[in-house]
Amino acid sequence: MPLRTALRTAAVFAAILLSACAGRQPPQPDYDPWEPLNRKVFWFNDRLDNYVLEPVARGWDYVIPDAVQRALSNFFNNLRFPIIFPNDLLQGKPHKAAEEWARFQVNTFLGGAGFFDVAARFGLEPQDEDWGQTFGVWNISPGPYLVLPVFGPSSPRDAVGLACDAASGFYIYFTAFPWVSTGATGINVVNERSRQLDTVRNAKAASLDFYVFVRNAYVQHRWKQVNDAVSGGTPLEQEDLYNEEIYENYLEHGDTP
Amino acid sequence: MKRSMRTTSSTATRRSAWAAIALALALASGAARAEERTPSQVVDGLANQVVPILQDKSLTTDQKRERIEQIAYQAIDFNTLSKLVLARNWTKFSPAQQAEFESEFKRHLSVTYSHNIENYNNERVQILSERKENRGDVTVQTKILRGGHSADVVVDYRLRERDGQWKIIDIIVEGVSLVSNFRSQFQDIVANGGPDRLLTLLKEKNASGETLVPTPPPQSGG
Repeated sequence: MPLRTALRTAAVFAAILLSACAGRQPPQPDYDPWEPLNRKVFWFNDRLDNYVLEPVARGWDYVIPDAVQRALSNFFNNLRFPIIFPNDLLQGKPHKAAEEWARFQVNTFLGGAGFFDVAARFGLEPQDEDWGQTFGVWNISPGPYLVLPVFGPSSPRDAVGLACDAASGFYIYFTAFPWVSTGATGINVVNERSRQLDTVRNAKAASLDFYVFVRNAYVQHRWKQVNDAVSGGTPLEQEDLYNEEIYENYLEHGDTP
Repeated sequence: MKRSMRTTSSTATRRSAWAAIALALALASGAARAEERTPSQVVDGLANQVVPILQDKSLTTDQKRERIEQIAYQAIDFNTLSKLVLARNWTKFSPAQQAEFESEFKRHLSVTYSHNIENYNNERVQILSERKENRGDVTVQTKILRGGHSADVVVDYRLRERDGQWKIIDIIVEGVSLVSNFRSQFQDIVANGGPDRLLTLLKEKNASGETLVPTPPPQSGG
C-alpha cells in the first residue's frame, strides 16, 4: 500500500531528525515553545468537544446501557491488535507480544468477535501500546508539546506515531468501503467519550488552567507509558519536583527575577 | 476486679492502683508513638478507612466528605505539599499568604476529590509494593481495582518522614503527579499576577465549587 509505505518512510525520517535531541530525560511538562498557537488549537478543540462531541456522547450515554458501551469498547480495543502486537516486538517485549497474540485469539473466537474481554479473566490484561511509545523506547525524545486540531494533545514524535497507528491499524482494510471505517471511527470516538464524561468534567473543575492541566498530564502520562517498558527500577524524576529546599537556595543565590 | 479492689482497699492501695493505671497508659501511648507505621501501613490504613465510608449508604455525600477529609488530613502533609507545589514561588508569599494558600489549596483538593464520592462503584485498593526514592522518600505503589468495569488504575503515593511519621506528599495517578501538575498550573499564574492573583483564583474556584466555567478564548498575543 503506497500510503502505508509513505508514512513508514516519513516515520523513519522523522526518527532520524528527532534522534538528534535524544537521550533518556525526565519528563518536561512545561516545555511548550509553541504555546500561543497550541492554546488557540486547544481552544478550538475544546469548543468542538463542548458543542458537538460531549452533547452527542451524553445522549449516547443516556440511551446505550453501560454493558453495551463496555462491549463496544472491548470490540474496538481488540481491533488494535495489529498496532499493539508489532509494537510489543519492536520494543523488545516478545513475552508481551505473545500475550497480545493470545488475547486476540481468545477474544476474537471465544469472546464473540471481541465484544467480551474473556482473556482478561485468564490474566491476559489489556495492553496499551502504539508507535509513539515505540519511538520513545528507541530513545527518540518527544519534542515540544503540540496540540493537533481534532486529535488533541500530542508531540511531533507522537503525531508521527499516530499516523503510523492509522496506517498499521484495522481501518486500512476497509479503504474500499470508506463509510464502514468512518462509521466505525465515529461510534468508537463517541462511545469512548461517553465513558469519560465524569472524568473530563472533574478535570475541568479541578484545574485553574485547563490547558496547562492537560499539557502536564499528557506529557507525564506519555513519559510513564514509554518508560514503563524501559526501566523497572526507580524512574527519573522531573527536576526538583520533590526538593523542598529549592526556595532556600533561591534566597541564598539571590537571583531575583 | 473492681469488687476485689473495693474489698481489699485502703486509700493507699487504691492510690497506687490508679498510679499504676496512669503509668500503664502513659507507657502505652508512648509505645504507640514509638511504634512507627510503615509507609505501606499508612496508605493501606487510608484505603481501609475510606472504602467503608464510601460504601455506607446511610451517610449523605456531605457526611462522607467530612469523614474522608478528617482521615485524609491526617495522612497527607499539606505543608510540604504546598511548598512543593509552589516551589520557587514559595518565598514570594508572605507568611500570611503562605498560610492562606495552604488552607485554600487544601480546600480545593477537598472540593475536587469530593466529586468522586458519588461515582464510587465498589472499587478496591490493592497495595503492590514499596520503593525507596531519593531524599529518603518512599513510594507505595497501589492499584485501584475496578472489577472489570474498566481497566485498573495505577496510583503511587509518595511519602516523606516528618517527626517520626510517614505522611503523603504526592499522589501519582497513571504517571501524573499531582505536585507536578499543580506546580505547572500555578507557576504561570504567579509569574503573571503574583501571589494575590493565585489566591484570588483559588478562592473563586473554591467558592464556585461544582459549577463549571468554559475555557476562556485565548488572549491575542498570549
